[in-house]
Amino acid sequence: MRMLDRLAHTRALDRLAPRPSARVDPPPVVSLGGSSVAFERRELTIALAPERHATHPRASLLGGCLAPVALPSGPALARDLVCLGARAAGRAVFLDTETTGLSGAAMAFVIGLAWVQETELRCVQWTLSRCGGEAELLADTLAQLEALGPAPLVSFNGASFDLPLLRLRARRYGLSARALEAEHIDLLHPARRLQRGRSRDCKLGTLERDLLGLHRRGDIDSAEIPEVFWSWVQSPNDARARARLQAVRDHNIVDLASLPALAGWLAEVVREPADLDQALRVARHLDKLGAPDQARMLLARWVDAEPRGPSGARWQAAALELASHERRAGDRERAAQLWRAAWLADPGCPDASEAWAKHLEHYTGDFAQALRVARASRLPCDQRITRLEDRLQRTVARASAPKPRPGPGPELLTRGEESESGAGVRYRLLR
Amino acid sequence: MRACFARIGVEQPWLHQQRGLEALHRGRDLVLATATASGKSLCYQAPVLQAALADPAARALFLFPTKALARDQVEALRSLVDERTPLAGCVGAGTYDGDTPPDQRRAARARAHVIATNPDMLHRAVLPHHDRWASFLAGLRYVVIDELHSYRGVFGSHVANVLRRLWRVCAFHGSRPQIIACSATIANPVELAESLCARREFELIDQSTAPVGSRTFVVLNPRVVDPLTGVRRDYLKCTRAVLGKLRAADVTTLAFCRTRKAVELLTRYLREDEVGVVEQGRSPLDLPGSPQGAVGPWARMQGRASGGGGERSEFRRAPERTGPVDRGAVDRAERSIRGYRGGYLPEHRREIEAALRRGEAKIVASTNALELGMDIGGLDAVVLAGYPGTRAATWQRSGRAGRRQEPALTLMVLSSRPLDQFVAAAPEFLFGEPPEHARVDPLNPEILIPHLRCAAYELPFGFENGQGWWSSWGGLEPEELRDALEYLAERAVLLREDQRYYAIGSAFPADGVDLRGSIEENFTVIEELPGRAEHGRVLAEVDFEDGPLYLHPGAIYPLEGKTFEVRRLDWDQRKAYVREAQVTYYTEAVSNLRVRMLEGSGSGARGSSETPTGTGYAHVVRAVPGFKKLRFRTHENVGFGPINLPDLELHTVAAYWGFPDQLLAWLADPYRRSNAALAAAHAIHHVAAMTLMCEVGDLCHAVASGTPGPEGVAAFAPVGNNRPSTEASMLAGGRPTIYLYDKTPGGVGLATRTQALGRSLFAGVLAVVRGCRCSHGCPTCIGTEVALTPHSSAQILDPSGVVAEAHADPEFVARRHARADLIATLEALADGLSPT
Repeated sequence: MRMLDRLAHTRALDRLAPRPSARVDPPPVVSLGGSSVAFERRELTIALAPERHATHPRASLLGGCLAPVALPSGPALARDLVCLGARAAGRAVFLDTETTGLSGAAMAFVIGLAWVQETELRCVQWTLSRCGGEAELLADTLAQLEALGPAPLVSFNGASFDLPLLRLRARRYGLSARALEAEHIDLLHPARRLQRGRSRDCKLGTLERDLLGLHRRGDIDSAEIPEVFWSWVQSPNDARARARLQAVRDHNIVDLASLPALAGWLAEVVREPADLDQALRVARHLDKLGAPDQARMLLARWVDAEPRGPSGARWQAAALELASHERRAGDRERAAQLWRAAWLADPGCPDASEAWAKHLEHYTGDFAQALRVARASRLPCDQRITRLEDRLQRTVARASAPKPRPGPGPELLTRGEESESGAGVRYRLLR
Repeated sequence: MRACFARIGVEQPWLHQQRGLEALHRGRDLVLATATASGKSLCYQAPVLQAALADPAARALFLFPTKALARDQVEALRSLVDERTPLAGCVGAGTYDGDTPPDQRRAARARAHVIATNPDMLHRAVLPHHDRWASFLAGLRYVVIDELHSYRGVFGSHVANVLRRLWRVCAFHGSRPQIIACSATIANPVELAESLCARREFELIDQSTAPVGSRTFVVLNPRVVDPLTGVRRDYLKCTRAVLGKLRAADVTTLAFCRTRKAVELLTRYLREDEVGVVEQGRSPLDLPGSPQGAVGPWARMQGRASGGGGERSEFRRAPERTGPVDRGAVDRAERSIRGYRGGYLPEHRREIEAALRRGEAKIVASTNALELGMDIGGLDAVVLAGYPGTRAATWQRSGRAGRRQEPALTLMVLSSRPLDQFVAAAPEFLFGEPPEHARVDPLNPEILIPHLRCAAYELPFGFENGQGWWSSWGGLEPEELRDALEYLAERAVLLREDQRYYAIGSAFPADGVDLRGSIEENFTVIEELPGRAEHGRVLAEVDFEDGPLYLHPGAIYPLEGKTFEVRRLDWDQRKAYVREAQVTYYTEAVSNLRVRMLEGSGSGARGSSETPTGTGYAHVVRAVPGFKKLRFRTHENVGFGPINLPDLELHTVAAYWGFPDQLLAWLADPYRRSNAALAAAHAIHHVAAMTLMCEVGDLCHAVASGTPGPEGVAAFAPVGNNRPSTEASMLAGGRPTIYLYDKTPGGVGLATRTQALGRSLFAGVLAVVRGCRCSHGCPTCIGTEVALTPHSSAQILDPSGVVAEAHADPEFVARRHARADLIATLEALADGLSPT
């Protein structure tokens, strides 16, 4: 046949000198005609409370790293997830996959699901045995998900990676991925909000180490995971390949088990921030979740708790944030107090000076003070300064009539009084 | 839809368009092989619009060889259905290529009815992620392939395989699109379409019924300047005169040049002429105080010349005399005379095309970059500076001239190259013969196998009784496909499970296949003007292979009339730093080529009549030892400089044939020997390309001296478009060996197959050479490297101005015997091979 002849030419060329790129020893001829099993499913149970019993799964996974970690119970977990943004408070299902690559055309060959059942964390894990079994694996996984009825579905970085991948693969095989459309909480985003800058990075392993005290021993590097699958699927009887695959599966289980612990830790911080910086982050988090009032109350508690003579840029940032919350809530005097205090703490700070100068100019009418404030900033806004100078000149030129301006409360204005010396503006506190 | 077309002036389709539309309506695939500007775009815009209007889920894919063309056609389609038309907002079109920003890509994927892309993007970005394109592929109704003739040779084979992957993926998502292919005039459009697309029945429309105005084709051979030596006038100067006359008559002209250097020179000369041209005898800036009432160096020189009493020919200028230049005239000249070539930046090129459309640019000198179908409005005339090399290119370029039904002019100025003079002697060569064939070989295993791997990565192969796309590949029997897949499985690239083949491995297969075979990055030309705003501005781009030739330190790089000197070349970063300089010379690099066999299997010659032949890995090196400085206008040599840049290396597979001893004894004269070797190499090259169904450009031939052996041999090889230097000819005359190698790195099996043909190849070559009707040899049989003067004994003037040494008798005798020597050589080579 023609193709064989032509291939023979190519093979003849190979006999001359092997090309450096094709330096691969072909493995024994692979044919998995015997194995008709598409996937392997195993189930595992982990107790929620830490135990040091040697035969317990906790002790065996990855050098017993899970042993000291406490996992939250069902109701506690539901509360935690609400703190992290869940709307429904049903049974949460955790999801994690191991794939053959990071691109969109990769294939998931280990899928793990976990959920809390009374005092245990039940895990189910599917492993692909042959390339052709992906359709059956996905069908089984999706069926299990439907049966569980997850509310919500929790993962780490699943919103941008795991779920779209699973949806694409399901669509290729014509499976309905309705179960994946349930509410989804991605723990990466709250973790980033709360930990960015405080940890080296926001990878799951780093967070486990820093926050949960979970040190994996003998873990496999995530860059080597795709290779494990390829070498296993080519030679399933090889002991070494099998051992490495087992390592990948253990890695997956530990990933799954650390998710509820991580959720618990994050929720704890959200409920009770330990210091001002955390409080600020939590306030932003709550704002993102759509609970600005809670954010405001939290910030108010922390800002007022600082002793007089506030110091530090953090306090200033917190004060400014609280001020913007107050302004949005309608409490302008409180906002003004905060702006003033923030500016006094560091007169050069551009944000504080801008906010305070804006209020002075548009709501109080104290142009001289506003000008002073604006000039004191490290990054002065020229437009504002020239405008203030103009206005000051004009008011000085006119004798005594103050400019009418729209403001939230007329009782805040000082009529017939020029504040030339910048003595400040008197206002009533509204609480 | 009719209202939309009526807006652009199309009330009714022409007859040939109507036949095309009817064929599409019947469900057949279509090939349009009419000339340029015969309304091919209507034949695919109308059905696509109709389908989109009838079915909101219908989609269409437009394939263009370049990004610029894709952008142009999408703009045309968008303007067809923009806000002022009745179809506003109904049909969306988008480009999807390397330049498209990510958010536009997402929008295009999700919402556009028409996507314009190129084969590389299809190969790398669309097909491997076909899951994301599911809605687009499921609704795909039409695939439009434009410039079909550009998919030939090795590149065409790659594209053919990419298209087969596309059909597989379409079948998976449930669609079978109709194909609309547009091609320039070639001899075998249907055959090309069939082998590219793996479909059987194409309807062909090759006669355009659109009325065109009369076309005049003029072939101009510059006159002989010196009757003693037979030197003809330089063709660039002649072109300049012609363009000057056309400019004076205000005719919009496009001048096609063969080389970039010619484009730059011509632009510069024409602008100088323009600035010096005094309008109606009086310059607008005519100041009463200026002495002779003439402004500008040219007019001043005219005045001086006529006042000085010296007789000057119209187009010879005195050496540089600088003086104040009329700035307004210079600006006008810069706007109306433009240069265009592929190395310019895309924005620059868009701007020149827009200027042509508006009518602001009157004369544009260009390389073949403007040959492809971008819309530049209509032109009145096309001037070809030198014969483009193939008839197809001549007709393609000439087709640019002519607005609707107005007379058009094409004027070809012939240079002193042998091929051009052959055309001068026998102009019916242009008009009588049919255009060239386009050849493509999609089942070349070197190309097919990597694409099968990419295809398996997209969708697995299976030989159970399933759907067609599991087990089919256009043009390949299932058993052959299975053999190929087994070959891949043996190399652990595919995994075989029962009857199915899956792709394994984390490497992305499409990254390992480059459709155009080029891996290296281009050079960017950066302006160096410290302290000014233009510092660091990118001026142009140059291909990697041409970098050492045009961007070596000390080179003069011309760009649209301005000259820049290259100060520094950063090889690793691929950047050249230039500064504008006013110079009176330009530079030209000297290059030579060496072929070295690294290792191979072959037979050394044992008997005196046996031909040493074989194949093996070859190392081809193109070195650039130095450059020449040539004065403007007179083109005389004013200097020389060294170049120290890395050589261009190519590791590939080569086949070689040495001269048997008997032949060496018979052909004693070194000139005749080297001529015969060069001519034989050329003939073998062309016949091999024909037999293997690849392009002539995919192979390369060289002649070196010495026998190749296990330790390899290195020698200078005269090869290429220029005439070899005398030294190289003498060297080749020692013990010539003919090499034939693949131009693609690593080889694609072409040279191996040629060598394996053995005697049948030479039988074919002899048939071609004997069948040639010339008496002493013509470019078809002998090739362009052998000095060739069919009718006179004149010397050929090298374009750079260096006159070859006047070897009177031996070379002339050698030329006279060229054809006979060639036939004798081929016969001897053929006899020396063992019969297979």
